[in-house]
Amino acid sequence: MKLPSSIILGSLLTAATLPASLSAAEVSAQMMADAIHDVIEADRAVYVELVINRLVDDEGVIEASEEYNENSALPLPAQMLRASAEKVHDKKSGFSFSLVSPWPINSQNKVKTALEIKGMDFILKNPAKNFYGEETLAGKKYFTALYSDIAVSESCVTCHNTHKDSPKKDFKVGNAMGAVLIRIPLSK
Amino acid sequence: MIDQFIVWLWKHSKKIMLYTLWLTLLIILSAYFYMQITESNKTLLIQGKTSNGHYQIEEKCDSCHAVNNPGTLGKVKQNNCLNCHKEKKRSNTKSNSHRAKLFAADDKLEQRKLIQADQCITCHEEHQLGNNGTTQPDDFCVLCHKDITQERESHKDFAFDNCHQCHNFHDNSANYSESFISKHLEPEADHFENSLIPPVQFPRRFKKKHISAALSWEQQDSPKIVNAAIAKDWNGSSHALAGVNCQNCHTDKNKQWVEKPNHKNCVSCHKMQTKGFLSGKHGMRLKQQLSSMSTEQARLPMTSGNKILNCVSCHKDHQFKAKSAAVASCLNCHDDKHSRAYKKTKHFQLWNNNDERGVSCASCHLPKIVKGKKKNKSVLTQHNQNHNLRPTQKMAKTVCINCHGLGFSIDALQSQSLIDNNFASSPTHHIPLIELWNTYNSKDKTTY
Repeated sequence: MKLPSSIILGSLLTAATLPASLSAAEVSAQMMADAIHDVIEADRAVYVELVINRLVDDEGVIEASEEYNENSALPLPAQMLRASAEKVHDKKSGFSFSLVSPWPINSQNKVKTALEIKGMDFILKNPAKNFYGEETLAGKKYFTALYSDIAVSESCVTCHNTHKDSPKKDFKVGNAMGAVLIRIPLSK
Repeated sequence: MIDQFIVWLWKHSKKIMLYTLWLTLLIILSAYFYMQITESNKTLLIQGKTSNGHYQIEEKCDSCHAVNNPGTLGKVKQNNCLNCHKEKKRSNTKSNSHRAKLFAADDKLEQRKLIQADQCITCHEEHQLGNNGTTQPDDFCVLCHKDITQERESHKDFAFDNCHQCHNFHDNSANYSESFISKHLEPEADHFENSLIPPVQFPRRFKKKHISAALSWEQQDSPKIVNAAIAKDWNGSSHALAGVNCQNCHTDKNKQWVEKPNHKNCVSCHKMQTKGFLSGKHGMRLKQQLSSMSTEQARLPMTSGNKILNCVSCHKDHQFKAKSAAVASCLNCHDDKHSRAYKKTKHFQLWNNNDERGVSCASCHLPKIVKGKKKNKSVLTQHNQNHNLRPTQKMAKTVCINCHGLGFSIDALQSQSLIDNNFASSPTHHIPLIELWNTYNSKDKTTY
């Protein structure tokens, strides 16, 4: 269970300790965002493959449930991602990541800022591309990146299409369901 | 010259007297307030009535306020709130979707403009109201959840000033989640034939560490002469049966004899129980290094005579009978309408007849907490009664459904007259929560 967060933190540490020959200027915010996104995606895939698919689908020893505490079950992959994001938030570095969508199950996760809305619009029209931009929030400048979050398996689609709080019920495998949002502070 | 001065004094005598009086008063008042500020007890400086939650510790200003740094003197530090009111982790069943830190990020700026939910003092202001200290109007949920009545058909007829009837802002375990309701969809009996409250079960590690063979009186290890009454009490106690000898409780960390052990001794074995006790209203003063809570300080109606609260106030020392701690100890102090009505209830009758369906004060307010499974399972008593003092919001899931159907439990908990008579009668008003959920669930999912 600790695997994903440890990988994320490990990657952040790696990013912070790049070889001396690489100057800080050469590590652009975009490169950093892309690298972090790769790690987030890898973590999620590993969690699905090694934990959910193995223990829930193959061995059937435990269930995965949105209400994992109440049901003594495994958290869903999206919940694992959010839990990791919360741990990163605790570090108070200003760096953050989250899952956003125009059709979130929890309406609090809807795209909010003008740049998020613009970026979401862009990646829905161009699912193969990423969106990058800069925005100022609460007086601080941020580099913001959005990456398509594609429904990779039937379970993603089934859950979103049948969940009572989901505003969209016709997702298909391969559709973009939202985006992974990464925000890197450019000023203190 | 002297004559002139005397004349001047005479002419201005009235003014001089007034100035002298004013100066003296000023010095006395300054000295008085200086003493109040520097004294450890600063209660005279409190501006208004402290809330029910905090009044017990109001004399310990620095529990909440910054008092050492003149620049921040008097300010309430958020970390001080969180020291006691720890935000539950996601992995805790009582986790909180409104954790303050979740609202602190820069992308939550717009939300913070609606309500500054990252700061405790946005909703909780002390020394103003005296009751629960909350300052937001009842319908404040509308600020962020204004669309919920359209988004959820089950909520379409609900008013925003009623959210707190079912939801607790800080405690998700109080929510009637869908998976929870779905487990109770089949019509359930109002009263179950058997109670589902599990018996106490100490953790395996506890048994390994502390429980040995039962001790006889000859094996007692007190260095002092023990009187016959104490000897008799201990000999028949669960402590003696579990191999807990005199010195296990009556010595401190340095193996020195302690005449009157307190929670600091009990904690060596009863860690979870002591933690709960210190977190609740019974022990919160002790947690702040203040004297024990006493019945004279209580705001709830109490029986006459001043009684103080520590572990042995409820668990009579040397006997440690769980049964008397579950009712007699409570009623020895509590004298409100709800407590006085208890002995007229079916709950009490059953309990008094040693029926396993019997319900004591502790069954509801200090319920059993089950942790772990199989070999690692433990069942211990939650000693923080704050978790179970809000019937409508919190008690159905943790308490009532051990013996009653969910529908019946909800109906009973929503009735103030039943709370007052300690559930001596059946509910008369039905709240169709489960029926509502059923209707909502059977709708075509694609249209919802």
